[in-house]
Amino acid sequence: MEAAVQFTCGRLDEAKGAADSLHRFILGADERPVELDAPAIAELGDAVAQGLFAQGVFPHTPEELLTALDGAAPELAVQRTFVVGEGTQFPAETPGSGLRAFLVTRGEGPDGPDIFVSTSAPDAGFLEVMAWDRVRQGFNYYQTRGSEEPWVFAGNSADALRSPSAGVGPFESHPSGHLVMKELRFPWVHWHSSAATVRADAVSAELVNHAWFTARDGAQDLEVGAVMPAIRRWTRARLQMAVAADGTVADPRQIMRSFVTTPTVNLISSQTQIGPVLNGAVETFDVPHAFFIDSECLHEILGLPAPGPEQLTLASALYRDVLTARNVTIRQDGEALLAPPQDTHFAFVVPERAFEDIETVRVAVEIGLVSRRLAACLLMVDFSNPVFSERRAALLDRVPPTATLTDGQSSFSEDCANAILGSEAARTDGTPEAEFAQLWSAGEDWPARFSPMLTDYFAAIAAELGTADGADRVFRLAESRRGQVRAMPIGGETQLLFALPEPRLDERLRMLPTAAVVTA
Amino acid sequence: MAKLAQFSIPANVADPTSGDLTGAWHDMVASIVSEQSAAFPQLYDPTAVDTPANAQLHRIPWHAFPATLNRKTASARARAELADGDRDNQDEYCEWSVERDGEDITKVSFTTEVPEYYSTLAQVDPEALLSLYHELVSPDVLVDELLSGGEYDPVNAWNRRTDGPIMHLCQTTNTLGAAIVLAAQATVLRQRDGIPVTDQQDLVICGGLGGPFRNSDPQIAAAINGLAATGVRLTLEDPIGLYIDRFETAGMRFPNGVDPDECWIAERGDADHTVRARFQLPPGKGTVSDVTIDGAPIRFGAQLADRVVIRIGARSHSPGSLEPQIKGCEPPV
Repeated sequence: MEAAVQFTCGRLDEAKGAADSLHRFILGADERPVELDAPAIAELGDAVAQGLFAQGVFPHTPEELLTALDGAAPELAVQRTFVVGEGTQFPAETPGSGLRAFLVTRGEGPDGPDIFVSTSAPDAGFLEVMAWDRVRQGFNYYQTRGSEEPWVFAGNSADALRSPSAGVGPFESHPSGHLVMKELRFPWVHWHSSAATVRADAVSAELVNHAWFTARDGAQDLEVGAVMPAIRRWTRARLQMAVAADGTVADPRQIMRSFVTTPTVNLISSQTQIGPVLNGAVETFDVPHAFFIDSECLHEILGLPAPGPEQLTLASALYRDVLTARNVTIRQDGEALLAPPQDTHFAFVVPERAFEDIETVRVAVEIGLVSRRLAACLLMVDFSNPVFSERRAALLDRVPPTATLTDGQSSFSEDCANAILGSEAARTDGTPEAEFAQLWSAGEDWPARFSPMLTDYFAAIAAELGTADGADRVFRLAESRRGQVRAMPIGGETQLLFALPEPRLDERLRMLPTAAVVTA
Repeated sequence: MAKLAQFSIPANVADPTSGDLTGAWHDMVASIVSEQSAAFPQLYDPTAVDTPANAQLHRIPWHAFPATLNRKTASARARAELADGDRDNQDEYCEWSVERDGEDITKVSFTTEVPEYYSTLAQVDPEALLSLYHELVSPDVLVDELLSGGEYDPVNAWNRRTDGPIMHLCQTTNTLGAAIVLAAQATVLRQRDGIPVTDQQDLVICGGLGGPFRNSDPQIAAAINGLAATGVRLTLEDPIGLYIDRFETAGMRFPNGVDPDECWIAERGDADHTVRARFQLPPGKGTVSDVTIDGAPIRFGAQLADRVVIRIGARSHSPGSLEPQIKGCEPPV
């Protein structure tokens, strides 16, 4: 069963005071909101704090904020607006249809925008702001709830990584302090993009002629121009901050968490919309590679060859049969919003490894803290489950609590491997430690040893996708992983992220390297 | 805004001929537009009908990397190799070539110039055509190498290259005519079994509007179709053409203190219309391969194509003034 999602962000409402005031309330660290005086505000190094709050300017709608920034931060004049909504592709009269949020960015450059504003409308009272702190690094998280309410500083990205604020407040859904764009990659399901236009009938009459909508940018620009650079920016900063001048690495387990656990996920889907799948206009559709494997880390970062030139595909008819048999559609509070069988606008939305964790892997390898061999051996443990692998996660306890990195050299990889190899579990068949030991024994010949494992795996998946029973098993596996996302803070914001079968499938499954789907 | 006097040359590039290229170009575009306007009245001919000053401008953007390749392979490297290696794969109204010195990339040239311009140029002034090839492709080009059966050959060996300077688009569907026809046909609202078809891919499949899995065709079709649904009168922005809208540098790291703006150089077009650009580092500042994207050095032109934004423009006015055509799906090809 899915765990109940407990949000703590609502506690930010406890900040009370004048509308022209800023209160610090870092949940977990602060017992109660504290109004910040001028010297405290001056320590916040972002453009909103320095250009507005420190000058006594406290705008209370997104438009007021952006107008105020025109004068206060002219270097951030470039503005882009993006729109998202899980119901934007529903017929207009459908419950849940329409836009959910605007994301407005300010600034541009190699590191992307400095300011991100998330809100429901240009004149909304509730808005959330992430602003890059040019002094301390990391994003500062702000929120205000209306013209009568104060602003709240809810923490900096670095607070996501340290106790007692880790995992609390905004860091429930930003577990490493990063910007979140769940549907980060093509075709950016739920976003207006070059792959799926959010049409005028998805917005209210008040907004349809507003520049935020008429001049909206596509998610393809948000991915490349804003979110990926922002994630890289904080990843580089946090890893630089993690290494002290004497080479001591603070809490290497914090970094290795991105290798072996699933702190958060992105969502990926087929590149094919569900319409042509259901009406038979396409005979087959692509199934996202990243559902089956950590393709970016294994292929793009570590260079293991991607098996075969072709994308994995599933016959439309088989998938249609599964959706029909399982009574799948978009549901809210148990009610079907669309007549089954249905799926999300782009078919088969599933969780994939989060880009912020992939980027941490990339940088940890680049700076020499983690060897390519260690990275490969860790990621190949239970490789057929790129997310939510309890087997891989169990290895986190073996990670040494200390490490040093000097001039790009570190013994950490050997130390980490030895810690796993030296464990009692490594000598017990079937344990993750024993699996790691087997992989580690490949030595520097690991690429040649691991490649056939992936090739065999993908051949087995292709066979599984070619049968009705196999298609159903893959659907059940997807549903199992979706259930785990629903239990995460980022999955609890809306019920419309995924389609749902009825009756529900409350099972926890995993895939074996043989492509068999078994109970986890 | 009154009637357009004539269709302008793409990007308002200067007429290099001794003849009347402007007139010939207008005639060529007018023949396509008038035919399409007759069949699809919601897309009007701006040389025949007034465009009011308050007509709204819509610039429809997409990225130049061929989205169809995303469906062919899951490997980013394999996709890049496919995209760089065959101009036929570059089907988003933008094509490019990659010049190398050994393994290092020295220059990547992008073009959105339509083949019709060069065919027209060849008819008006073959010498001017040859001069442009000498200037932008190679001084070694011979006029006979550009012609086939006395006609200009858009897929001539010089222009088809993937590893040297190129002149214009040559992939079969990357033509101005295809873009105009797509826009015209997209004004038709589609229904299947009485249900409106508006999903981008389904709209393209149903209406026979090009490649459903490209970036460009579904984006153009959906944008035009969505406007048409409001009963507006539509025309394409003059000069009608496919343009390089911008180049995205976020997430790129440049060596030796190089300013990104020094590396992206518009080569043809006016301030608001670029049809040819190159990515190249200033002399002595390194090669393209010294630049990193996503933390990895540039090994393929396709990595840059992913950051090149292409656009086509349309103007609309008078919503509710026309009843859109409504049809069922076209038979599958």
